[in-house]
Amino acid sequence: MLRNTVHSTWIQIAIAVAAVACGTAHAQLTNCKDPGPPDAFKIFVDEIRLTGGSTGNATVQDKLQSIHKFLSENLKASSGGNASVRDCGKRFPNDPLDFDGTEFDGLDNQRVVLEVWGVLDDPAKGSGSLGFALVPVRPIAPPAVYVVPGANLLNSLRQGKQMGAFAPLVLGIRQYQNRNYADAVPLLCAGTQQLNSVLTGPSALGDAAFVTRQQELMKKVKEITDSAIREARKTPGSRFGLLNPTSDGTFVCPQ
Amino acid sequence: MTDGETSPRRTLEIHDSTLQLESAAVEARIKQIEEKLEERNGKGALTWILDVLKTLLPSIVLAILGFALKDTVDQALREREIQLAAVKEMETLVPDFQKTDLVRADAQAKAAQLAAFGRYSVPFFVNILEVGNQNAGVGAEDGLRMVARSEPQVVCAALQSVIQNRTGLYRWQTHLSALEILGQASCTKACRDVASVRNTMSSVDNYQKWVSSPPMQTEYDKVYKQASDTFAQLNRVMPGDCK
Repeated sequence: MLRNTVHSTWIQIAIAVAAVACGTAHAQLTNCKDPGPPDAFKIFVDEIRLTGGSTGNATVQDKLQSIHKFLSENLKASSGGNASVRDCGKRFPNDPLDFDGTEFDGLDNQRVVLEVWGVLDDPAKGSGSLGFALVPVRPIAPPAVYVVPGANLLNSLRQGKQMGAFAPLVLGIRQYQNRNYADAVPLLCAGTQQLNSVLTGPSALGDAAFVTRQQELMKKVKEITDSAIREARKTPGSRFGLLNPTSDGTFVCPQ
Repeated sequence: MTDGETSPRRTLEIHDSTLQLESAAVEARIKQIEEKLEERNGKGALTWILDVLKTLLPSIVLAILGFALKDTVDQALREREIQLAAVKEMETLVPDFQKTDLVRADAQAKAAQLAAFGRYSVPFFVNILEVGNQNAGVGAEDGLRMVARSEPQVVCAALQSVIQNRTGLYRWQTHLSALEILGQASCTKACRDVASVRNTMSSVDNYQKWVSSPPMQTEYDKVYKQASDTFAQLNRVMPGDCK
């Protein structure tokens, strides 16, 4: 019996070594330092780093901290108390591809709706980019990871809610998936409105590729919003009952 | 004069004719007595042997049983010793596995090390599914798959008991992982339990009573879909038998 145990242990060790040897370079995301309460929807805010991963001097560190702080406040405001914004410490994706199917599943099972991280390219100008992993969007518009370049991240964040536009959008989609249609509509409408202001106007963010992908996403969101309004109208006494469909059968978001 | 009677002391009178007659009678009597004695001796030996056997029988049975059970008991003790040694060794790996700054690749590597302990690592992996952080959970799933390749019965039995539980011992996430691995490890004995989960979940409101963390609609849908997928997987392994 002992011989069998030893023999089987050796086989298992061999499997283990093979598995370790096959470990991929991807998936370098650590756990979130403070993942928050299990029952609440959550937004993970990862580290904001300097390009190349260098630490920079004290001034640069202050700037990185400020961006992190403004980003968290921005997301808190735009989620309207529907999600808990969590500081994830040193968690940071080396590559957007770190957000693979397993990572999305893990986030979804923790009720994380959005994960945000940032890279500061030029500390003097403040240029850089913010990354967004939109967890509930994955089934409808994969890979659901967007990197938004900005000429001055800190100024953009100071100016208002624009950078948090994804928060109501993902919360609305999640409510829609949970068949809470009446709750989903205001969030979807707010998200659409905020994202449109990010994509258009004088202070539009992102490059052409980003805008194209966002327009595709907005098309899907519009379909979901119309479907949510249609379903919400089925409930007797619904406040959406007064909304009338346009000639093409779609709806205009209530003001 | 009969046997056992003591004769009073008397003077023996010897006459020519009677002496011969008495000698023959005495001889016959002696023979009779000898025969009786022999008979009694034979019966006595048998009784004695039976008595001895009666006394010794329980001890003999006990000795035979003891001999037969010795190996089993020895094996059980040795098994227990191995288990304790494995647990002690695993204890050194466990804290690393649950660190916050652990990346997924490292969690998988640690899980591979723990999976080398085979069946002894299974309860630990199940517990990590229940209480571990995100990357540790991924590692625990991988660890269970690794053990299932060499000792499928142990993994199947452990995960079968996870999905059988409906009293809130596990989170819905643990049910989800258990269902997934049961299918991947071809746990055909769990087939009926998988079917039962799929058929009796009924609704999100009902399923909330089974698990410790109340799931939302999307989460309920996910578990239901996994139960259906696992059932289909097991049906492919045992076509027709999985009902």
